[in-house]
Amino acid sequence: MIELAGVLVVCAVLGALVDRAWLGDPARDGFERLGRAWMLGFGVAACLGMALDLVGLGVTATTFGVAGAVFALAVGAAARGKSWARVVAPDEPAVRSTGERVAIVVLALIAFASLAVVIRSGWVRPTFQFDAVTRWMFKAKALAVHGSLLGDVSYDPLFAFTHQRYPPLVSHVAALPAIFSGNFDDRITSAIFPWFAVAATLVVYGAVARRVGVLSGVFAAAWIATLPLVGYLAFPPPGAGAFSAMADIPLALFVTGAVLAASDALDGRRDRAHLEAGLLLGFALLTKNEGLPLAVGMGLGVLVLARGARLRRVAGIVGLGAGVYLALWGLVSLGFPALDEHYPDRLNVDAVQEGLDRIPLVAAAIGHELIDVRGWNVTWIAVLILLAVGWRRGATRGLSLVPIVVCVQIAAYSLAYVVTSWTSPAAELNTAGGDPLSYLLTLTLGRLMLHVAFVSIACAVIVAPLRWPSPHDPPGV
Amino acid sequence: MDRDQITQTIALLVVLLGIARWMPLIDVMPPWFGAEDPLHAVRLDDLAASEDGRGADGSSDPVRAMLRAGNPRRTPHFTRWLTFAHEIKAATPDDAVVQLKGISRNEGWILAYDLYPRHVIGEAKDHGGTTSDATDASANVVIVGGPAPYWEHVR
Repeated sequence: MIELAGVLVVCAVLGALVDRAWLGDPARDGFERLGRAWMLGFGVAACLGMALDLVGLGVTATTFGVAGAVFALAVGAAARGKSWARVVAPDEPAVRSTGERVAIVVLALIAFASLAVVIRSGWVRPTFQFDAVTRWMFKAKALAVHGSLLGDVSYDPLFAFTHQRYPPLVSHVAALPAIFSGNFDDRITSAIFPWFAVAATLVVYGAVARRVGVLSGVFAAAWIATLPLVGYLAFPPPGAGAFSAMADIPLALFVTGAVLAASDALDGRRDRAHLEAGLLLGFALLTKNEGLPLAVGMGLGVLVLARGARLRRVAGIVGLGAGVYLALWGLVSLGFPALDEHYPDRLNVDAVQEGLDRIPLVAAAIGHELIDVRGWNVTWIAVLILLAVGWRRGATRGLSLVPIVVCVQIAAYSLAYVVTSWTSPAAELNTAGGDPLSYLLTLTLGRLMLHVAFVSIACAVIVAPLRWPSPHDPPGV
Repeated sequence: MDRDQITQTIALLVVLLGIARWMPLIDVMPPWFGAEDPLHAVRLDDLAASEDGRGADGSSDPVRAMLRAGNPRRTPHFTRWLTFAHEIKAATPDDAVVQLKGISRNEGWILAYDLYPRHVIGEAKDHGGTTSDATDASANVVIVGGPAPYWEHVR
């Protein structure tokens, strides 16, 4: 346990220093500060590991310890003397009623209790989810054993099933406890994954609370923490539970952070928000290939929504994200074997024409997902109602980025489903020789929607904030 | 109904559903297979107590096999692979090569994870591999699937 706690502390320190030194530390309070520290720290720690691997030093307790200490000293020097500007929502009441205070405490307890159960489950259960074992955990084990991903595991076609070109941010973070302890145990390695959900919950809480008040912030936090797809595996086949060692919740964290930062930048709410958006976009790209549509969505959104210097802003945000990705993984991974289902090869007119008859199936699956209470309770219905009710009064130029990113992300996933050549022995068993797409949709659509769920919830609660009834409200309201 | 009332109603619904569907579970894994669900044969508390089960000694294997198998019928199968992996790791150096014969692709990949850094080779059953495949010259150990699986040193 000590190694896991140590890694969480190291990541929090690295992230907090980066936040203070480079990003202006806009946190509303300590909860948001901790969430932001983990969000940034997980990304920074993984980037340090990838950089050490690239320069040939490998990731060992010694090399990571020295690199981390040097980085912390350098960034810490830049952070010295910078103060924390506490940002409070403009209409935050100076004095709260007892009822509102009780509601805030109850919602916070619900969020904490939900996350605590997930953390405990991640702590005691071994890794078992098939994709987690054969991709993320496999690479984490290779890092723990060899200190590098630039060996057989990435170049030998024998390990093609690990998806060699997939970006490895979560594997680098997950491997750290084993690298420090010298002993790979997949229960400890996978136990770090629920903390991405904790960070996401705290980040959304703070981002919402800074804009529209604490009551709405804790409501958004409780909503995210109790999402069935975050908290537990709702039904077979497995979903994307925060303890399942899948990279979907980490990606959702970085998507949420990047889009909310870009939204702040577009609204001119704070300094350094462009830098934060670019950095978090880079972390998203290093987490999963599904981060690529985010670069397109953010670029397109900023281009449409920015008031001035549009190209410069797009180039800054997308350029920084792409630069981080290409420098640490994108370029070197081009030398690894590609998958049979390599999507760039399938993005052509012939493949799209061939898959046109799949569109009704994909559209129906997405529609079904939006109303699927097993995985989502009433999340997507509630999000749509809140957006409809509050958009006209509560939306800002920056928040308009959220629907653009969500639409681009879902369109990209739909296109992937249309052109995919994916199949597997399990699909052949389950579809009796039919199109394996329906089986793929069952396996993956829920966790893909999770990538945009947190930021959608944040946006919905911001445009239609929760307001505690006041005795001064007119009767009947 | 004004905007605030709609927002409050939605919030109440979201929170109540969150509590109703989630909090009473305590354990985050619902019993997929009814009262006899093997996933619940090992309680979380028992698992948490087996601290010395972390790592290679195998005391977390029952729940690991159940979770990987996902159904009671296949659980003994996954338990056997875990047992083989422990035995082979104890009997071979890290650079050994393990050949699989007549084992499915997905189970082979999981064995490759359990046995890493040993390299796992062999044609998967799904791709035409059989239990009587020729032994590769580089293999130190073979694992043979079929109705009575076993493993043996070949070099």
